Amino acid sequence: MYRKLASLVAVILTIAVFVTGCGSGTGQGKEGTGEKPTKGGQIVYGMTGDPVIFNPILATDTPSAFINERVYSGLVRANEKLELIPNLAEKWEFSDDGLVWTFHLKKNVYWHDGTKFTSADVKFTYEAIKHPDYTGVRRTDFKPITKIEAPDDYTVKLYLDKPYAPLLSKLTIGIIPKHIFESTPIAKMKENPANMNPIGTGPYKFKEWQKGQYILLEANDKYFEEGPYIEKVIVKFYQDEQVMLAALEKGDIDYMGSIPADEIARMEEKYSDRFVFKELPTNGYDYIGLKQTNPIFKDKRVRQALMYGLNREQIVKDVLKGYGTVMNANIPPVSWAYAGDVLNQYPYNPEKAKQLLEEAGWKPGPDGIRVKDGQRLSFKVLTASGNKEREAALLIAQQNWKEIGVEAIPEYIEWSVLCSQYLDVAKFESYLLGWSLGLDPDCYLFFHSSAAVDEKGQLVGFNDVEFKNADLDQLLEQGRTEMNQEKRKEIYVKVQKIINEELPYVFLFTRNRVSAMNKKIQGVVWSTLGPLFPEKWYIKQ
Amino acid sequence: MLNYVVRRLLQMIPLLIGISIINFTIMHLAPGDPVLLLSERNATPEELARIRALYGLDEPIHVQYVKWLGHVLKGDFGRSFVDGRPVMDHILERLPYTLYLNFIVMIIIYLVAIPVGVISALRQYSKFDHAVTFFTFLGQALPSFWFALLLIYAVGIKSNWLPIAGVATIGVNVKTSGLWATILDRAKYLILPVTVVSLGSMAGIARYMRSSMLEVIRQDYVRTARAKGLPEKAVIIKHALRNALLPIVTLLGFELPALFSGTAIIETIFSWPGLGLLSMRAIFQRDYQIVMAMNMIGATLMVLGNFLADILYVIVDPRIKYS
Amino acid sequence: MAVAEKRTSPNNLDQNFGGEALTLKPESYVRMVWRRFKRHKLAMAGLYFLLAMYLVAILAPYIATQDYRAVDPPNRLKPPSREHWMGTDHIGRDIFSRVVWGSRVSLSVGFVAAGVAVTVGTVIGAVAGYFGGWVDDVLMRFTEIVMSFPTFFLLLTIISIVERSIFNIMLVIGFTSWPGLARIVRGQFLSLREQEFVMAARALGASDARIIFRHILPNAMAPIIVSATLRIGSAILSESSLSFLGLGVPEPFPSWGSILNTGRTYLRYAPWITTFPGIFIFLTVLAFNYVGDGLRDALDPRLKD
Repeated sequence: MYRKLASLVAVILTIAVFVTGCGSGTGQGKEGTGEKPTKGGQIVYGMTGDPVIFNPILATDTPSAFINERVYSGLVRANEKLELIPNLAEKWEFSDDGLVWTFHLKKNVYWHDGTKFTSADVKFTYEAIKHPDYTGVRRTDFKPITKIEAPDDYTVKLYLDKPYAPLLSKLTIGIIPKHIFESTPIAKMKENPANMNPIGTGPYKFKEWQKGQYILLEANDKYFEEGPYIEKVIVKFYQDEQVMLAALEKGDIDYMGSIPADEIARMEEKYSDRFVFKELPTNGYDYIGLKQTNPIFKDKRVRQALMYGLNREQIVKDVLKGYGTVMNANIPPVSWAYAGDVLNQYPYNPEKAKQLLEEAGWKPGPDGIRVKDGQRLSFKVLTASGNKEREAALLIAQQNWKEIGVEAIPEYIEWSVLCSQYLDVAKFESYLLGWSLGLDPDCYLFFHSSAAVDEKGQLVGFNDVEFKNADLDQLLEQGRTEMNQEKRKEIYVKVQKIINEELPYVFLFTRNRVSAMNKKIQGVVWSTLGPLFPEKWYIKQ
Repeated sequence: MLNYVVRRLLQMIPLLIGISIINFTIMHLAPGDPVLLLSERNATPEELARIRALYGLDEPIHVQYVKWLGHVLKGDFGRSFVDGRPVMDHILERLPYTLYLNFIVMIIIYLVAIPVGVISALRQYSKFDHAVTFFTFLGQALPSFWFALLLIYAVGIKSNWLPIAGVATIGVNVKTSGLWATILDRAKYLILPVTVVSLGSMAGIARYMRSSMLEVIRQDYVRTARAKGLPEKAVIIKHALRNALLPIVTLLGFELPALFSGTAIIETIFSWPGLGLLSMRAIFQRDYQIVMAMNMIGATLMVLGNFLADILYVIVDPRIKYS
Repeated sequence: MAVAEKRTSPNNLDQNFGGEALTLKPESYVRMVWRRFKRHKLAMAGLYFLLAMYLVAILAPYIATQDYRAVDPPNRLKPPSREHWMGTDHIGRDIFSRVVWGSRVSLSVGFVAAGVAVTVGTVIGAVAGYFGGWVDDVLMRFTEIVMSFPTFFLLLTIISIVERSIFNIMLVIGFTSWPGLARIVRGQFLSLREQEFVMAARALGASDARIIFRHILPNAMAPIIVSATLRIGSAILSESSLSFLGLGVPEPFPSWGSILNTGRTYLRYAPWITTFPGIFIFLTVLAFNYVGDGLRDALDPRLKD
């Protein structure tokens, strides 16, 4: 399901971003103020929703991920440039054919209960994900691994059936303790009480959970890297974003990850002495997926006309209040593979759109909607009900397109029904939704022809628009097997060019979120993905 | 009497079975396969089949029902699909908060609604009566979430000491801050949610008290008491009020399910960690086991509450004969 | 019922009726009820208000100043002005026009949902009460089963699994709120079927259906009418509660509840988005309650002139 994928990816991202070790994170604070970090104090986070399960291989929701990324560590993690750097693994190497990956683990790592962390834990975690009884959403990530070996306590070898570059970004997933979980059959892993009282290797230890109210974490004194400095982490849970914002204003919480766009200006004006406000681009985008096999969308000129005929700048300005960027292909600016200006920007140009539609044979009909061979240029756009920004964007699109003689009929459908009856069976004319993306630019599952519908009519990957392009297929395959990042970037720029020209989607925008952090918290590294390295933060004396 | 009680109890059995069947059927007719919650979106049919078998979802629905009922009779509502924890654990950790809020609300409602109802009945069609009618209707007609949000902005944010969400300040408890400070702290958190919930519910009780009182003061024995020349106060308190309160006593039976039922919207707005939030989250996440348990327990309490109300009625009103 | 969200208030608002049969002739009876009703000033005010609202709903296309769907992003979140009498929402739609059209949606949700509840409740109650015996047993057990479910959660559960259309929302609200009425109607039928006029009709060879619908039902109408009135109000509230949870009437149809829900994010600096639909929900439900109250007094046979 989309949401699942989205949140799964959010998990990967956040784990990668927040759980930390050394590297580029060190040294801030010191360089800024010349101050030395001191131990003590507390930070209070506000979150909406309730966490579900504190087990990184089972969790799919954002609040759980937020806790997991502080309690657990993965083999690798991402820095503020989305580059993967060591975490539990000290270093790693790939065999020349890319089929054997060897990881050398750090030796000074202990679980929160005092047990030593070894390669057996890594092997256990990855094998659990590959187990047939595993009920989680990470199986696909680990499919290319055929065998996991732990030749000694501090070495892990992964054997792959074919070179698969994106795998490294999946290894940000938190490692779970074998000695806690091995007694539970994998099918019953969810029932292990440690999921509610987790033991990890991360900078913070799980201390207390008042259900529906707050979670208390405490500094792990035996953390394997520098820090943590802040003694207590409290995460408060709210059920309503507006109420949480009110709590921020009252000073009940020190951090809110995403301030509603309409409130940002007022907040910045009123509280700039109390909070640091940071605008951060997110790693995802919203789009309108067009069924490529539909007679209307078959013609590339129609797809391009829909792009030219849509005032996406205005959507960003009015719907997102300017906190966002127009997208022209499938990789957002935060990624190292972003193509940027080399793509056609499709500036708003209704005249050009009309001209393209004329060329494609669509002539204005009696009611202003274009007609060709007796068919009206009219289609349904499905979207999940409840997301105000998407509803607003869709209404603007409907109005814009009407001006070029295209009728879009919005239909708002409950999320699970939208997934099970339309998207998962790939039956629709078009739909408006968004993707949250992983660290890796790999988009094989979205646009490769083999990820579309198989001969039995079953959707294989996420290519529900059934986009098929032989050149693109080849590039996507190369992108997965090429291990060199520079060369991969070249490949993915080509990918974006094809997608920008062929338009499986009408690309809309990527959002920027604005976070607020209490000024007393020092040493925060702001990156495109949020505040990094929480264990190196400290309270200003 | 004993006969009557036993017969009523026996009648409950088919009722509860009926409830369990409808409950189970609704959840299993729902589109959206729970297996999809447990697997990746692009899982193969084989993978799905394996997970389905793992959770016993491959069996025919009546077999699943019988198994589920068997467990329920032993007090086991199964485990949440979402986090794998026993459903009972989920319910038990939320129950105290819901009971706590509803209990306070109930006390306040009765303390206010009974005198208000009585007075407005005694002064039927007076200004006071009209005002009461207006306020009770207002309580019923005001969308509670709107009122709650208005309160948060109008009162909560402006005042520094009135909390807008949660149940207690972290770290304030009897051990660290002393008894009074703790009570004061908890009371502060109660003010807004209790205000919203009681305003909505007060209406019913006050109206009920009013009509009960109206009915009683028209009765012959009240007239007789007046005719005897008893002072008005004595007539009202000794004769009328006592009899008018009888039906209210039976309402206590209905309070049983009411105590247990969380108020989803209020709990959402005030981040109150009660059963309403649990049910709502379960409904949205399609965590069937929890939804079925909540519906089953709610319905059972309703049945018991009705039973209790009937028994109370028989006990307090000697005119009613049980057969 | 919305009250379900406000803890179960005993539903005895509906139940203060004597079991006496109303055996007066219809015309004079209606006139008498109307005369009594008129004395209840607030009920009359409520009635006028409701008539006005229904008029607005019927004439929505002529009253609305703009297209309720037309978005105008540059003019978003504008306070009330001469051009936008109630301001604009987050994408620049005219609140006044949406509230006007919303009256159509909200009132029809209330009307149809109450209609469904009253029809189902009346039929089940009538059949159970008239035939008695096993029919009564089966139907009343079923009624009790449905009644036993926590109403609002049952409503939420079903709404969350059916396709969310305005029609389904009406049906589901209706189908979850009939049991109370079924019980009242059954009670009426139980006592009425023993009355002489029923005996007489039966002796004259009238069919069961005729006796139920022509003879007994008109005499049991009083509580049904009152209950229907109150139920319309509570169905409107139910819809707005569902909208608050994102399960109400879907876009682009505006219901008062959904307008209120879109505005809740902007409550602090664009309060007009929520204020106007909030006031209309409030006044309409209030009006239904007063009309119901007035009807109850007017129909109560124990209140002599």
